[in-house]
Amino acid sequence: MIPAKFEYHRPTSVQDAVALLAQLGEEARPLAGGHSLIPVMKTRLAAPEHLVDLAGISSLKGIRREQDHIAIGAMATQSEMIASPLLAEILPIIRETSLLIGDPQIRYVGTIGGNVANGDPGNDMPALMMCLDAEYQLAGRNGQRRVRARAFYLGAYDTARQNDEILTEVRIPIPAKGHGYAYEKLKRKVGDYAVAAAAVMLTITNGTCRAASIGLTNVADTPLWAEAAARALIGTGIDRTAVANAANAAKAITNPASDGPGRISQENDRRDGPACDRTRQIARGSLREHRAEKKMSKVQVKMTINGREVEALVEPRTLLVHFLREQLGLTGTHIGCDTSHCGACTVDLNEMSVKSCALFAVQANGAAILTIEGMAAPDGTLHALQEGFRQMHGLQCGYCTPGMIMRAHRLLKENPNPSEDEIRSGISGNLCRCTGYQNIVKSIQYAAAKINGVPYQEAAE
Amino acid sequence: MNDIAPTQAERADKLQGLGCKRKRVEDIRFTQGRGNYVDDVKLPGMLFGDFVRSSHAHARIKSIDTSKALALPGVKAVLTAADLKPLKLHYMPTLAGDVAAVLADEKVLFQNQEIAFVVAEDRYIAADAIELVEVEYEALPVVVDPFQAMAPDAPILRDDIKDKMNGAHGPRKHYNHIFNWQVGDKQATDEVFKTAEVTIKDLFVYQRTHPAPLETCQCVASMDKVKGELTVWGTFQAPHVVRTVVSILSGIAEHKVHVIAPDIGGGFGNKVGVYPGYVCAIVASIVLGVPVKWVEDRMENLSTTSFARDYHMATELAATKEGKILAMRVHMLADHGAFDACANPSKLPAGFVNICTGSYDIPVAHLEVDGVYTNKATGGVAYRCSLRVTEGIYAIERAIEVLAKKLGMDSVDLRMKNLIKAEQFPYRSALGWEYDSGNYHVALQKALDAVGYPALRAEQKARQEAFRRGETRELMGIGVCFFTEIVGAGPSRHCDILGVGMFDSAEIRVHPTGSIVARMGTKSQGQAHETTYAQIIATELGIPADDITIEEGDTDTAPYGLGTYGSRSTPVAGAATAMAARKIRAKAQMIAAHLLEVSEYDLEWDVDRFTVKGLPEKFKTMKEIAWAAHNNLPPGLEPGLEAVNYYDPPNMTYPFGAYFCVMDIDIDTGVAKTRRFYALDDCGTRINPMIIEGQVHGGLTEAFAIAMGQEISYDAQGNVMGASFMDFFLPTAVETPKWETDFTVTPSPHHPIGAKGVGESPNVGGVPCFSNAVNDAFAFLDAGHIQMPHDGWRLWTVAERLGLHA
Repeated sequence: MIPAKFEYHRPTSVQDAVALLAQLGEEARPLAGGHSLIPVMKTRLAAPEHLVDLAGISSLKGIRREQDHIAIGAMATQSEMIASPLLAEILPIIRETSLLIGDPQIRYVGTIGGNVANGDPGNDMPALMMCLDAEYQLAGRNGQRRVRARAFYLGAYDTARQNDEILTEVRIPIPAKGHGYAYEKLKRKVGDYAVAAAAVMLTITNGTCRAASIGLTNVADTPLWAEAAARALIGTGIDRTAVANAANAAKAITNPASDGPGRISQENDRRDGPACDRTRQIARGSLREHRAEKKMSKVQVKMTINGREVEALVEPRTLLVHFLREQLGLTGTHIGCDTSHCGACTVDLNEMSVKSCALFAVQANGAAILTIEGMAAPDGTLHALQEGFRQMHGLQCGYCTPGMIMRAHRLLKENPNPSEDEIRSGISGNLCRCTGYQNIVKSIQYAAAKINGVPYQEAAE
Repeated sequence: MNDIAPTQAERADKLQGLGCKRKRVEDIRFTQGRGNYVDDVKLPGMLFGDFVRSSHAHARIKSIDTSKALALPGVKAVLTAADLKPLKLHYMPTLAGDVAAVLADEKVLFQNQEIAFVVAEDRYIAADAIELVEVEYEALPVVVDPFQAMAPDAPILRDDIKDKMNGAHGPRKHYNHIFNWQVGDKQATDEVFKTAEVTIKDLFVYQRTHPAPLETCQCVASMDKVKGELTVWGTFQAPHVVRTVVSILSGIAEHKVHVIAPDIGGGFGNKVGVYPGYVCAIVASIVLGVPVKWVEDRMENLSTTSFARDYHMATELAATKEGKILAMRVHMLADHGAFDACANPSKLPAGFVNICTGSYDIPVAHLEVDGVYTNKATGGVAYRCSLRVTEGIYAIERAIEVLAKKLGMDSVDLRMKNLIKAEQFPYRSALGWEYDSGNYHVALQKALDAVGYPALRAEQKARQEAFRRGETRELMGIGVCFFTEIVGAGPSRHCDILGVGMFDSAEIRVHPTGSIVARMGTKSQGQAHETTYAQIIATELGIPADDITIEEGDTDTAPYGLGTYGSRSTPVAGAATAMAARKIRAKAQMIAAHLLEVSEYDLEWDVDRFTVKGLPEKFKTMKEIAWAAHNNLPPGLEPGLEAVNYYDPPNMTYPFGAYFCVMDIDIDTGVAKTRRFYALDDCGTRINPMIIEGQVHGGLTEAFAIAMGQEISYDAQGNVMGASFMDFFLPTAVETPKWETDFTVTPSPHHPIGAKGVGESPNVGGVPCFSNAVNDAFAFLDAGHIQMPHDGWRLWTVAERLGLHA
């Protein structure tokens, strides 16, 4: 689970980013939130020689209204879109979709640009953008251009974006007021890709459907805009027959992958199996050899950890979790998996819950980080969560506990008085094998009561 | 006596002893990130090891070129089988009487099998170096279907033992066969089946899965060349056994091998055996003279360390038409993977699976188990299975449901009719176990009343009629399970690990000022031993639990034990703890008599003190006695106040329970929602109800995952699937149901404090309960047995097969 070496670049303008990509060629990848790219780099299925981090480009942030369009900067995170009052008022389907993507930690870091640009047929935003007839603004060495979402997806991981181009903005025409909307996602569990999902937008006047648009996720090797299915609804009262017709028309254009939860398995790609060819092995080996021996420059990073300033030199590929554990000796943060699912590595970074195994230390340059070691007061008084987990038996082996407490800490800042369902959903990015979660919920409720200064009432079973 | 003297109840309270919800000692460090797990161990000069693994499931190794890896700056060594052969370490003995490859020699037998071990300055360089090792393979045909393993033309898997037709457990029928194990009365059973009024037969498959504790397997090996001593920190559920094995393998005398199991992030049976990573780290450390750390990643853990289950059980019951069960006959095919590395007692190749007559009074039975090799990872006994008990109880609890349907009876009525009666205990089962105690009918009735069973069946009937009328697309299922399980391995006449009897131990030492240090031969991986063993001692000795430190895992100081798995800690080491404490109390009584100038027989024990009978104001507390033990003893009695006990249990213990599940299944999406899950457990005396509840919650959550979607599977080429947390189903707090727990108490008559152990029970009882709920939902449509896991896609295909989507 260690990525191959790479050089790290952090431009401060789109122009500089484009110039870098043009100059560095095919071995350079843009880095947005990184929660699709970094896990893949950790398995070494992808090993770009250069990463161009877009996080330093402030013009890529922001959500604003422009007359008849909403423009969302490519680096806007799922979490920012969920919190946006503008989107809540004008495009509530975006919030509904974002809440179904990943888990709370992933939503803090994952961006709309990352979700729409890499061509992963399992991502949710692409089908939604096709449904909304969005356009993507691309900036490349030959200038700027716009491509409609409906024309952007060519095949699995194959899009209209050229290597030197960066997707800078998503532009969505403002739909009619009072439109009906829904994003439905069938999935096995929180954090999974969709088995299948659909985005639907409808306009109905006097009981008749005037306009309809349907996008489908993960039922083919690209997202699908189900044009015929939508047409089958227009002019109808959205009765059972019309819906059945639309569903059949939608089914007719699907071609789902037949394994796992309906998406192409990365493990299948990884395996060479009996067909492994000696030539390929040699070629790949020499590439690895070249890279492994290359001395890639180290980068200076500076951050504040538990209130203390820290400065260090790190390899660009040093994962934040290893930086904390190995270089700083803060071993309270744990590693439980390779694919960024378990959340044991969760820390609080710039007031966000993030999975430190899916971030490079260089990305945390300038950040303020809180780890489990910083939760108790300087005089040793335990935080309400630390007390709550002990009082309510919220841990057994203790391995998930630091990540769980760090996530709960941010959860209670987001929502000081969460319901049980909100707590369960709030910790859905943290796995536990020992407790069955029930007492973790009680531990967080205990802490919430203590922080809010109210007596804790244990709910009757 | 005056008003401010504490009452007896207050004194008992202060002890935080047996039966109270004592808060955990462990939590203080874990909630502050101050645990000491293996990967936290950092030693000067420490190197890092990582494996080159096979991409093939079955292949000859034509060549291994390590030159490029060795040339990478920072790489210190690359080990292959050729390096281990002269040390005779390229194979290691397994707990099941087989041998397993440490590094593949001449061929690989499962995907991701270890081929070479790279040692480098840090884990990043090691990760680069493993890619530079070049392996040339010649692919061989693959065996992944256990039913094809013994075909006459099946490929030979184990070249290394192909001429050994006598295995560790008797004659082998075929070169891919491991053992045949039979128990019970075949002739009598066959007779009953010939003439029975009603019989059922079904194949129940318990799919391969994996315990997946959140912390993977890891170790740090450190050879001190000057002293000639080896220290190994590791994720070891059985640290003393590891020490003995390491001593035998390395040739280093056992007193110079120091094995330490520090904090462990979950075990669930995954961390019992010895893995190639441990052996290679040790060899590397011995060769290089510096500490070597090995930490596997999650994909390595899921695809190469001890898997669980993979039993194919052809199960039959014979009964009268009134529903009296007359006999049980089972043939099980056990898929062991490439090597038999099951963590079983040496005489029992199928563990305790002969518990499969379950909670029922079945007079005659026969069980036959055949184990086979396939091109898959090794292991089998893990994941709260209590040594194959999960498999056995799944078979009987599913069979009860199938029989009930055939008889047209409610399965609860069928159970009530056949449960072993209270007066039959101790009960000798037809397959050889003596169940210690049980009060089954009372427990089942309590559960039925708690869930309102008749109303649930009435609701189900109404919903079935609504379904037939097309008014709903949901099916309601009621899952029932009444399990008896067998834990506490075990009496050394049945149970030994590599020849070492499965006793366990406790050593207790009382300090002059009245506080205590105690050490046991078990090793907690989250079961709160630091908290609960202290409660036992507190009640036995009248010293507050907060004044008692419990230590486990350092083999230099802890008395020899067989470790923690299969819920054996409470039954065996817990017994040793009570017995050692009683030795101390007996000595304390003599000292008290001396101090009070009375005869020992004039004293009685009162919570935390000996009082003179009839004169309660004349007493000595244990604290006072502890001081006196160091300066004021009766003549002839040696100073000090300590004892050790090695406890060889007279029998296993038999916890039991009644579980109920209500489920609603959407036939158009296959999605099953658990509406309610009620679990009544009887684990005998309850040491800490809070801990017990936590164990049940955790085990039920694992059971839910297993029944409803978890599996490790292989395609026809032997490629392993599901070996990452992307695919392997681990529910989050959102999918996990809410659990209702309840209990009865039927103490074990042979255990010093009547306790039976509980950790395994929720997995043993939970999986059949969930599976029975799913099967019950479809039963009125005559779906037949539906195999696990019951994920959405599979349930959708059941509905499709039944024509429900038309």
